[in-house]
Amino acid sequence: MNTSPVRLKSLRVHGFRSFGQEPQTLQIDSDIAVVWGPNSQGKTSLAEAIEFLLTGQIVRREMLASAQDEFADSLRNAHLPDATSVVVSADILDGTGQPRSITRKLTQDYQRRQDCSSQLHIDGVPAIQADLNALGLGLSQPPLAAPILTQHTLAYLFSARPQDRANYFKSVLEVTDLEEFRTAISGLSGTIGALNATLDLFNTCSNAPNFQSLRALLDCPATLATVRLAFMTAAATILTESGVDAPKELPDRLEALGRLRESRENQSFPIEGFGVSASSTWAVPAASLWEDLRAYQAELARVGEATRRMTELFRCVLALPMVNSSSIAVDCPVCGMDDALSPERIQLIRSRVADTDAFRLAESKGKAALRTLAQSAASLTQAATAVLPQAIKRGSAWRRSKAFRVFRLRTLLGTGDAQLVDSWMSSISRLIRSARELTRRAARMEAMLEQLSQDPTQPFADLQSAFDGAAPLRDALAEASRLASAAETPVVTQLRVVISKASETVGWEEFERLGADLSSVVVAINDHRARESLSVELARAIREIDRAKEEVLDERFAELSSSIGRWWSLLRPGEPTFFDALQQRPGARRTIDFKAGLSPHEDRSSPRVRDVIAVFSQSQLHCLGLAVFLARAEHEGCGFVVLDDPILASDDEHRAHFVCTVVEALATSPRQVIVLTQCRTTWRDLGDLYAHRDINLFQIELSDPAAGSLVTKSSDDVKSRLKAVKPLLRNNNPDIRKTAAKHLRDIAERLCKEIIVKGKRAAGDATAIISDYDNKTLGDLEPLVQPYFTDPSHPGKLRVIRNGLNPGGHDGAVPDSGTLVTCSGDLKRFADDYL
Amino acid sequence: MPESVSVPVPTPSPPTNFDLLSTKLTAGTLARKLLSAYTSATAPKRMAALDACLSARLQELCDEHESGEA
Repeated sequence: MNTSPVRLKSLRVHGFRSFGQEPQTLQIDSDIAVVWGPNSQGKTSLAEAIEFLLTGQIVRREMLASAQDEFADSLRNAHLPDATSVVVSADILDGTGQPRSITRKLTQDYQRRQDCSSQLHIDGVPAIQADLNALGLGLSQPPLAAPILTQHTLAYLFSARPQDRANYFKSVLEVTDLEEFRTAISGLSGTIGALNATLDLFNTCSNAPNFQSLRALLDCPATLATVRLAFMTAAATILTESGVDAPKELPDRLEALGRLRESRENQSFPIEGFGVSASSTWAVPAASLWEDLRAYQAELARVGEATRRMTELFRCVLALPMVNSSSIAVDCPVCGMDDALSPERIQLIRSRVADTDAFRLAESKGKAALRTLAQSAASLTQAATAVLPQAIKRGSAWRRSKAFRVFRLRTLLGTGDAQLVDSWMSSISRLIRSARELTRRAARMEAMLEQLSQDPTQPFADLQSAFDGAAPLRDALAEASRLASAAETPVVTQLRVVISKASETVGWEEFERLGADLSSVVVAINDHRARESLSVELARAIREIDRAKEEVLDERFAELSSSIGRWWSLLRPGEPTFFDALQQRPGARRTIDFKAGLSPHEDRSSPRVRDVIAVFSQSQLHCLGLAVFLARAEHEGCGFVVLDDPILASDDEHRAHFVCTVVEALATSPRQVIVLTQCRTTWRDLGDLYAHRDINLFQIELSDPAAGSLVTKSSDDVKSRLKAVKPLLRNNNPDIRKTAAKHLRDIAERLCKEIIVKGKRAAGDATAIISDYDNKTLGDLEPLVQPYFTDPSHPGKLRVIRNGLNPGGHDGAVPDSGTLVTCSGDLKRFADDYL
Repeated sequence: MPESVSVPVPTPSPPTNFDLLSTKLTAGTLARKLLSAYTSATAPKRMAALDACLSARLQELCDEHESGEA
């Protein structure tokens, strides 16, 4: 479980935007870190590197939507070879206080119309964006997802369209979950009115003139009794009005109604003349049938007719014991010739009988094959006839007698449905042609089969070809049948409508179908009524949820508004013009307003409320953007924030408030704050003010674009300055040595101040800061620092330094190189021993 | 004297938006039931939970209509 805020412990960047191939590392071991660098040295690249690490994107591209193309290839340092890796990584302490490592590698830079892509690893294991949440690095909703404030994001809230601004704050307030819930609920409306076939029929029927009395059934809970009574009454009314006696029972009344309807409708048009049927399946005869026929013909050729006739006689002779078991010649039992049946002749008779048995088997199979083929050919003929509509099957005489005429059909349907009739006609013509062709083919096959049955010895290759060729014709018939059926359906549907009207039978058929299943009608009516009630309840629920959601949102806005106001007061205390509220515009919930209070009094009493956009100065808008960002970070519990030039360089007064109170409030919240600034004064002041918090000071510079931005840690300011002045110490030019002496004197003063402040804090004075000793000279500081020296030789050495360096600042002799080197060495030892 | 024992008191979680929303809905209404169904289900099953809730209410209404109560 995440209980502690996430801390950034180190950051490594290489190849990203202004950063070069050599990885740049920021080791951060404080809650406050400040990076100073003049313009265009890589500060914003550094901020965006952190943003890229967290989100895989840079939001600046999205905010400058019109210029997205211009961001092509913008993440990789343009001076580096294409193969150079672009990687940003960080070591953090996660929400449980555990050290974790996050790395993001660019795999595809932005293209003109394409987002960039990257690979995220956590502790060296491939990860997805959502895994960052588990570390406690939960991000805000886009577009300002990362806790990083830059100049372009600071202005976003005031330049965004009202809808975007509203969405942004709703995202910040994390009420999108309520929006999603509301959307899900409103989506349910579409599921309530589920289609019900019975109700559909009921509506069609009860909207017809003869059955409008049935509508009353919808007004109260339906029972079988009430529905039966309504149907009985409606049926009786129609029958009576038509001069037909109404039978006593409902089924009989429905049957009578059906007869009456058909009679009326057929007087208008013989609709039974339609009815294209689906074609039945048919398969090409199995190859084994042809094999059986071939075997039959082979046996016919092998066993002669005379042999086949003598077979029974042979069987009788062989059945005689004297013949069957004889091993010598015996008399012929048929002609009586002596010794006519020798063993060789008996064996010959046996082989003839065996031949004839094989023939019988082949004959049986061959004839069965012929029968199967005959049935198959007949089924084709039947299929070709069965698919045709009744009007074609029954012939022209029927069509004439019933007036089944195309021109009549066209007249009934009118010109509006002429296309339907044309399509139907075309499809029927194709169907008839296809059926005729198949019928002819089947007739030819049947004739060939008849001939083969008469003389099985005839070749049958043509017959087999005819069967093989029937399959495509059969498939063509099936397709023609399908098309004709599809074309027929709309014609019949429209025709029924017209006929119903003409014959005044609209809704009758539906009535008959409903009347045959009253239980379903009862269920359908009650289901419909329940759905109606549910729709009303759901609409009421949506209104209730909307109201409650707005109340929640108002509360959340009030919380955020209060937080913004607090940060505003830290940034701009005591101003009569102030941030008043962030609120939804009454009556326009999609619009979020920033309200300013304009008071004539310092205590902000009696304020007039106006929109901030109209009354705030640029400086005030700037501060408000910062206050909103900090309130959001506070609201979302961000472990750290990155502020890229949060205060205008020219805004000295508010810069002081930021440095003194805002950073202090952030650091004690506790929230890690990383400030990037071009203002050296801000950097120095933050360093002085928060030395007691061991603030980390960094500098960033870009002297060689190919090498990229370089970051150096300068918290140990004395040592870095000593290092910087070292090249000047042994110079022969007195002016340069004079400059070196001045630098060393400044370093000595700084060193003394830091030793004094550190000592005072160690003694319990937590308020001691460097600026307490502004304008103090080395002479002033010398007695103050001496109590903190632990080496008895050090007071003397400091005096030597003061004496040795003092001439360097005056018109007197310039210190020689030896003095400068000695002073520099002693100062370094002081720094080692006391800082 | 019995030794005093300090019992750690768990920090209460701040109310979620749904907690707040729930307090603003009337008990027993369809809105409240839908919210309960929605928040009881995991994200992928929320729509199914809402459908089930609505179906249950529809069945209740059907029963009421069939029994002539409505």
